[in-house]
Parts: sequence; C-alpha cells; structure tokens
Amino acid sequence: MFEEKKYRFLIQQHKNRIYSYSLFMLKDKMDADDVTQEVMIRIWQNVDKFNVLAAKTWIMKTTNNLCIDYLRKRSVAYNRNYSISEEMEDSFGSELTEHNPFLTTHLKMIASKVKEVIQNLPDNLKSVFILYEIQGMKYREISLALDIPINSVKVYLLRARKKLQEDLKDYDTK
Amino acid sequence: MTQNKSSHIPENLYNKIVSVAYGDGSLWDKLKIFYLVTTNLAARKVFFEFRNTAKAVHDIEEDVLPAEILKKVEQKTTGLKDLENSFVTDLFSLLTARPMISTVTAAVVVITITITMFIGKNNNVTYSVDEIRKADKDARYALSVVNKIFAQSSITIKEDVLKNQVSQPINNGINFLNNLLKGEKNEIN
Repeated sequence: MFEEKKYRFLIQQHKNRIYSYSLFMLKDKMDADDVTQEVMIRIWQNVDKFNVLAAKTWIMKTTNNLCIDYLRKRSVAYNRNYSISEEMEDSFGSELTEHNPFLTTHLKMIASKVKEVIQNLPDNLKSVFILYEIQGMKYREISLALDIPINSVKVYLLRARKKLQEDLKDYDTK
Repeated sequence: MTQNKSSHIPENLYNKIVSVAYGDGSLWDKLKIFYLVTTNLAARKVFFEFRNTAKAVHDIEEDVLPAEILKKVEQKTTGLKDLENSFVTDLFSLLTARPMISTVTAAVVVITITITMFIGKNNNVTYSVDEIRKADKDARYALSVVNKIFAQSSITIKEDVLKNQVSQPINNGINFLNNLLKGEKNEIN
C-alpha cells in the first residue's frame, strides 16, 4: 500500500521531467515515449529501495542512461532526419495566442529555434545544459546523475552556453 | 591571458559575463559585471546577447507526458487505476514537494494541535473566584519579577557593558590611531 503511494508520488513528481529530458535527448517522440515507460517501470521495480526525497538523481541517472543506450542503438542501426516534434512546438505560449497572435508567433518561433539548437548540441553538453537550465537541478545533483565530477559539470555548462550562442548566430545567418 | 576572438574580452572575464547573464555567479561577480556592462560597449553587447538567450531558454517549459503513456505503464506495473487523477497523490505531492509548503503545513498542524489541547483543557476545568484571584496575584508577582530583571539588565547594559566594555576600547583605539597619526605627522615635518 505504502509502496503504491510512494510510486504514485514519484510518478506525479517526475513524469514530465523524464519525458521532457528524453524528448530533448532523443529528438523523437516515439523513442521518448519508450524511454519514459521504461524508466517508470524501473521506478516501480525499485520503489522500495530508494528514498523519495533523493529519488530525483536516481531517476534522472536512469533516464540519461536509457537515452544514451537508445542513441547508441540508433547510431548503429540507422540515421534519421530529425526534426522538432509537433508536440514540442505546441507546448509554447498557448495562453498568449488569443491576445497577440503576432507576438505569440514570434515568441513561438524563437522558442522552437532555441529548442532546436539545444537539441543539436553535443550529447554531453546537452544533458548538463538541460538538467541545469531547464530542469533546475543543482551542480551536485547533475554530477551524481551523470556520474561526472562537479567541475566537469561547470565546464560543460559553460561550453554549452557558448556553443548555443554560436549556433544561434549561425542559425540566424542561414 | 587568452582573449575571446569575437569581442576582445579576456577569456575569464568573458566566462563571468556568460555566467552572470544566465543568473549565476557570486554577488561580487554580479556587481563587477554590471559595472563593466555600463562602462564597456563590447561587454554590454556580449552580456545582452547571452541574457536574451538565457531568457529564451528559461522560458522553455517542460513537455507534458501524454496520458496514454501513463495508462500503458499502469498495465505493465501496478494495475493501479487513475494514476494521473488522485486527490490523495496530488495532496501528498503538494505537501512534500516544496520545503516551504511542508514547513508551513507542519507549523499549521502543530499550532492546531496546541490550540485544540488548550481549548479542550479550558473547557474541562472550571475555576472558583478565589482561585482566579490567586492566579491573578501570582501572575502580577511573576510579571513584577520579570520587570525587575529587565530593569536590572537595562542598567547593566547602559552602565557597565556600553561604558566599560564597548566605549572604552573604542576610545582607546581612536586614541592609539590619533597618536600614530600625530607621530607620522611629526616624522614628515
């Protein structure tokens, strides 16, 4: 009974985090769905083993490992033409549409552009950047989740920010 | 020292501008960078470029997991029904997710219990007029004792602590500095 409650709580808390991270990393909705399901099943299988308050790191570590597995499999099997999913684009500024369609379209374009450029960052930089900037995790949590030293987290984050800026400039000139 | 190619700003300073633009960095770094941004055109350009990107990044919202995925997972795991719509789960999540809310909830629970106990106690016991008078007298006596202690503490602070323990060392220090400055002045002359 308590395990069910714990599981429900964990899912409620982290389901969007897992899904969002997977979408960013894999750039494919179907794969993100699969990874999210797999992570949730693993949470259920291990629900009695970890502390609820410290679960975030474990969950993101599992999600990241599964995403890496998917990326490896994918690079061996086939090359896809990736594009931002429609669902990702739809998640921006729906409230503003009614008030100022021009502004909303502009904001949507910027947001989807930034998302696309983030998705195209190298995997090691991208994972740190998403966990820190979008999911609001701390250096220490990221270090534990990705199994890298805190200093590397800081370095990757700085590189990711610079690379994103450069790539956005390139994107504008295209 | 290495310089950033695009802006001719030293690399470590450039890195600090990036961090501050993204809302990181110590208070000192922030003050330093904000001052630099107001005085240096290249730094300002870099700062605002990164700040705009940071704003766009921070505005990105997490994607919402489709409900059908949750249902699929239900079948594979617990067989739990209505995983996404549980009032108890929502309440539990709300109370435990944010430390502030947890603290406030705990405080409210403690206060409620205390008040309930206090009210309950008062309802059960009735006091006679003599008892109330005696309690009033005792309370006055206790308050007069506390008043005396405060008065005594106030006198001690004014007369002993401030005069002897605070003012005197400060005076000594100032005198010492005065003597030093006088000595220096004499040496210069």
